[in-house]
Amino acid sequence: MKMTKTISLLVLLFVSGTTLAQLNSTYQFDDIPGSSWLGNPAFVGQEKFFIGFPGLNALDVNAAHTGFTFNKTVENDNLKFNKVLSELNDANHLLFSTRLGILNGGFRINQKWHVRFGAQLVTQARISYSKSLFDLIYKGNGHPDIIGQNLDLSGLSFNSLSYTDFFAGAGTSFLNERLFVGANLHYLNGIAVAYTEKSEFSIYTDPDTYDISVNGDFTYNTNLAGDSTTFDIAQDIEDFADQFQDPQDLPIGRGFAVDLGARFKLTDQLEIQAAAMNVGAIKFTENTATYELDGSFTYQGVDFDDLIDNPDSTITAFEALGDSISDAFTAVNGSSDFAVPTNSQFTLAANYAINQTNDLNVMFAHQRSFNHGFNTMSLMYRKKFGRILWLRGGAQYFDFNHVLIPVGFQLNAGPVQFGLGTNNIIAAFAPTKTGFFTGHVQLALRFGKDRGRNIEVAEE
Amino acid sequence: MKNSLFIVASFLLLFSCRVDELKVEDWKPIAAIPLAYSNFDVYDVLTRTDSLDELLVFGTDGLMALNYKGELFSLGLDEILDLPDQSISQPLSFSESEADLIDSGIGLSSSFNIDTPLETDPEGIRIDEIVMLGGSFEFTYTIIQDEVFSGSLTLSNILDANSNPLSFVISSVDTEVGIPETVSFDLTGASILPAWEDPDNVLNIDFEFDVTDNPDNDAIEGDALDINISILQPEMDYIVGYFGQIPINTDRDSVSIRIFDNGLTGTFALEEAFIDLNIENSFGLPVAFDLTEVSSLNLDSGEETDLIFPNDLELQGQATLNGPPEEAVFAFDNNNTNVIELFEPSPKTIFFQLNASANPNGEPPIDMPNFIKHDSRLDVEIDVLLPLNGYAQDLLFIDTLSTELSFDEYAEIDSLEFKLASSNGFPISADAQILFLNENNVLLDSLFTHSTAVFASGDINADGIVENPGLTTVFATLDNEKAANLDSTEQVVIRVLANTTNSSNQQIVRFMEDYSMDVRLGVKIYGNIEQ
Repeated sequence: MKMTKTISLLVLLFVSGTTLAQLNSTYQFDDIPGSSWLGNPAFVGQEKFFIGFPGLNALDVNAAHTGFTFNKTVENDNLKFNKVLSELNDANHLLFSTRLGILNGGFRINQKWHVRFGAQLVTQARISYSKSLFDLIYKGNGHPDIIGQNLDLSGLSFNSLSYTDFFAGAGTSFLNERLFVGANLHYLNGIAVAYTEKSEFSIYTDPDTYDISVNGDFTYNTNLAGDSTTFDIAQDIEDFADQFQDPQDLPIGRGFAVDLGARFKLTDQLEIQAAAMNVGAIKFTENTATYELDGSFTYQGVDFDDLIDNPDSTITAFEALGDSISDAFTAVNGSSDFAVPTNSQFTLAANYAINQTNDLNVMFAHQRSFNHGFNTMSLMYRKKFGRILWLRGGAQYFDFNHVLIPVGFQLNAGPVQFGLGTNNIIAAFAPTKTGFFTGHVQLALRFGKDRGRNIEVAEE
Repeated sequence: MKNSLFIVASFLLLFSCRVDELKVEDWKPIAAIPLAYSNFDVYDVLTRTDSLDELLVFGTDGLMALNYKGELFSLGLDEILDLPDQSISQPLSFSESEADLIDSGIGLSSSFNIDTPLETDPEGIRIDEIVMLGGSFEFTYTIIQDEVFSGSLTLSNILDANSNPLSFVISSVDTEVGIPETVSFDLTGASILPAWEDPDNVLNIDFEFDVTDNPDNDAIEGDALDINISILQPEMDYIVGYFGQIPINTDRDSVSIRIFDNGLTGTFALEEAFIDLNIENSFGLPVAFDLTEVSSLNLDSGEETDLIFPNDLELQGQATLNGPPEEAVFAFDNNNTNVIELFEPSPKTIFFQLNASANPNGEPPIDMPNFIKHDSRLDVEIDVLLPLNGYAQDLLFIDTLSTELSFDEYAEIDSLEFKLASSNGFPISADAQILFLNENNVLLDSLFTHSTAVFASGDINADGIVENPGLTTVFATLDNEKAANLDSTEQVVIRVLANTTNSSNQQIVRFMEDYSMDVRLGVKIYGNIEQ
């Protein structure tokens, strides 16, 4: 019963998963000074200077599970494993990200240049699994549907990256404010990483001998290594946790990333936008460990001699299976350096101002997540109610598979600017029908004449 | 970071009540796990079942043979001949007239000669020469009357390493009256050359002495001097002579045919078999063997088979004292005995009763005396060679293991289905059954509903050689009901019935060196994880 409950909780975690890294499509309308450039550094603020609230200038929390939803797998409070299985895609992802703006600020130079800087703490994670893995776990490798089949488990991965981000950047305009360009440079300090660099393998159970074969390549890197000579993952994690007792001695990775963006006004109403965000990598050199499965490995059981010589050790055959699979993932001797690419984002968008208070934005984006990419389209609409309240909403077709309903508002109360939104409002009123949960909030103080592009329109 | 955790927790709490209310269907995964594997070659199979002294390739075509070796008996010098400790005493007395002569100052001069037999075991053997490896000769004298004694004792039959007769001096100087005076001589390298006076080997002792007056003492009639000589802890380097027709009796000995250790019944018919008695004889004397019994016995069936064998096995003995030992082989095979019949009842043991006697033809020529060295041995070893060329029919093996079974730990396992898959390249099949008994030997359950073929024999060609392996897959299920039945198991009885290919037609098969058998054991675990 305990095991069933555990499995159920895991399934529900997938369903109700906390936060996600789906594309934040509302940034395309974001005029909060502290985050306006998160979608495209070519967005420039017009205030003389601004400062984000320390600790609360920005908070993004995103979580999602792309596999299945609660309402499609639970009937009358009964979790149906078969329905879970039928709802799963070939590849499924549990996505998570948080971004906490610690401090940011900016100022304008000569009405043309806008400079910003700041620091933020970022955590991103992706756990991916294939439908066949769930099938394998649910049915077991001895099930008639499984045994004798080559189960492709490619893509199975566990990725997590936490880092601090110190950044500075600027944006400016050319061609009489028809062309805007901007760039940010990030200096990154990697704190913890678990990175599945390669995951292309399959598992096969021989129907005659029950031999279990794993074929393919799997490479997993981490800096959660404690004693690099033992390569005991559990011990590694424990050792890593101990290191936080002396955070100043944490072995950190170093890296850089850049944001590049441009906007061009084709007409007074139509603008095209392009950006490449967070393109870079973090290199880890301390406390690192790499585990590899290279080629193929077959477990045939223990040698009969061992079984005959020690008949009481039958149970060790089961232990031997675990040991053999564990041994198949050989640790690369010695600590090896490795680099983790930052989760970059590439967008191409068009913004159409219907009139002074209404505009539309359509965007195509490709978002990287630890060697995996998600393609997304979104269509957003914004309505301005005077200068104080702006609402926005639309639709996002995440990974060309999941429909999300992003909504949000922006409140401009004098120098205080506050934004709140979600990429999927469905989660708020029908959480069992979606796997996508997200929220973001921004708060900033701005000073000086604000000639922001949209506010400017409103003033006219 | 705390803010992030709070948001995460909030989402989880959103569903926490649903988790409590949630029901899940039973989870019934089926795990298939390979437990064990092996490729057993002919050496693995036969040595595992037999713990053979040696497994041989017999002939040039790769035919295998079982080989059992053992020592039937081994004899050394000590078990044939012994030279025990021995001692003789000789008192010297004065007569009244001799006492008067001494007291008068004239003195007394005298001598005497003694022949004493050298004791041997057995008695009556003729000893021409013994060269000693160790031991001591002790001469002891005790002066009883306080007169002035001087003299000597000589043993002409015992020579020191320089071939000089042993000789000892008697003197009253510095000798206290009544206190024994002992002189020892190390016999290492010494020779004893007794005179043969049938049936004794005689040592001669020659004693000469002078007695003069001690003015402070009056000589009287009676004992005046005690003499004792001893040979202690003698060790022979070698002995030469004629030792007679001494019997060399051995105990009944046996050789275990371990391949049948757990066998009860059945027929084990070989095309040929060989029993060799390998003899190494470094005794320098002819020996006649009397092989009174060679028989096989199946202890379980009681079936006993006697070997018909030739008599009069005779050895000539090592030719020269320091030469090489005599080696001889007494071979029994199809040509001179019914040796193959010995193994037909799958015997566990072959018994031998072997007696021998020395000098069966009487005394050897004088220039070819018997001799035995301290390291001479008469070793008889048996070498049984069974080329695996024949057939085995209904060989029944039963083994019993004491064990306790418990299945309490696997409550979430509905059943286990074991799968044994074999590809048997040997021309022998095995039907097996495993019985589980309680402490009172009452049957609780069995692994199979009936005896099941676990290994099929390979297909053979006209020469009896396997051409295609026999393929077998056997399943055995252990479910909760059976597990409950087996919970009080104290004894596990394994019963195997083996037959070579087409044994009912007495088809001859051959066990070749390149035979092998693939065996794979796996298990399917049927889980039943209930809410």
